[in-house]
Amino acid sequence: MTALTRVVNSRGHYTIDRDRDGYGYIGKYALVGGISSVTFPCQGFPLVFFSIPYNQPDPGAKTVENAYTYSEGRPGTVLIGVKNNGNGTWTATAISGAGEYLRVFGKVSQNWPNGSGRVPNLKLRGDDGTLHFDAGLRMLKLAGDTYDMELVLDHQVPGWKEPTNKYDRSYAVPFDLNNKSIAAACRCTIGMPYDYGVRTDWDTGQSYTQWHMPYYDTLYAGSGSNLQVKRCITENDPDFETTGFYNVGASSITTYSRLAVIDNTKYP
Amino acid sequence: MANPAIRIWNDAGTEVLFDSWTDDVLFFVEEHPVESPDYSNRQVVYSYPQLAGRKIVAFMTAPYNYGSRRAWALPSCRVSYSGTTPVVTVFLDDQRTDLPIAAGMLTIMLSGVTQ
Repeated sequence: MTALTRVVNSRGHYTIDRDRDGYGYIGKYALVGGISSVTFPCQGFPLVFFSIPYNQPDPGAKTVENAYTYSEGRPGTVLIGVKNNGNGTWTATAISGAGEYLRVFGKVSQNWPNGSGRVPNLKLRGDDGTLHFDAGLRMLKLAGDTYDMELVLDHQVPGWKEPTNKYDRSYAVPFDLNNKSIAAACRCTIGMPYDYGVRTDWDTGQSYTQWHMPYYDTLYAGSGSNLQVKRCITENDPDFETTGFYNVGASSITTYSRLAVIDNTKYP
Repeated sequence: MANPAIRIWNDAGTEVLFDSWTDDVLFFVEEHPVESPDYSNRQVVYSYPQLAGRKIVAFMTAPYNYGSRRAWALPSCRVSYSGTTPVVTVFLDDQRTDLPIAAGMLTIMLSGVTQ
């Protein structure tokens, strides 16, 4: 007979459940800025949070045609992929400024099957003996109830004379976003070629239409208690060969995402 | 300490590592790789009758590296409640037929909060 099965917090959330896996803090990994990757160990699929810049000035009112760099100088971070390397490690790729971090959490049962080793300690195991909670770990806990918020990452129709902040959105969260990390999806990265004008090939004297191909992405940043979702262009292929390329029409794709936020100071 | 809390301190007694009364936690429920080279007119629906009455969370994470990201799409996942049963729907919003790649890792989590 087990007395303790489940503990509920003041808002009705389960905070300890001996029958369900919690997540423990594996560590933080520095991003060097730009498009960069880090590799970390984790058994099973990791939860990856990324730190976001806070109250940084945003120059992002350029037009798409003038935006050739990965971020257009806009402050922001986004996790764009987590790839399984197949040997107990994962490689996460992000777009960020320098000095941002990925914070990684793994399932307790898979990453600490025998516990953290810290004593004295509180451990909870399920009926089958699987470890689900270990007070010697920094267990995942959120900065508030933002997981219940749905973010809408609008489709990005690349009218190339539009300002790049046209599709920005802002979401109010119930706390200040200073020194926070978030989990949220990136926007699908779909390029759409645009007609850059007629050019002449000087070798042949032939005229041809030059196409540019910008690839759009998402950036997240904090401003006070507002989470900002921005558009950026991660690359711009200036002489794109359109032959055989599928046509992404004017109605591209909207991506929906949940949000979760953690306090960086709890995960040093 | 009026509340029925389990409070875990660090060894030095300077930091509360865990407080069962104030902290909000997500628990693992399950995860699914979602992959389709042709995502036309396809929706994937996951239903959780065993979690009836509770709120769940769903995250989609892209499985790509940067070099493979050209012209991919990340499926969306949305959470809804059919009666009291939590439901996760995975989809592309306009059901395009011409996207070469649409994939993701879906992670379902439970907050335990009442709907």
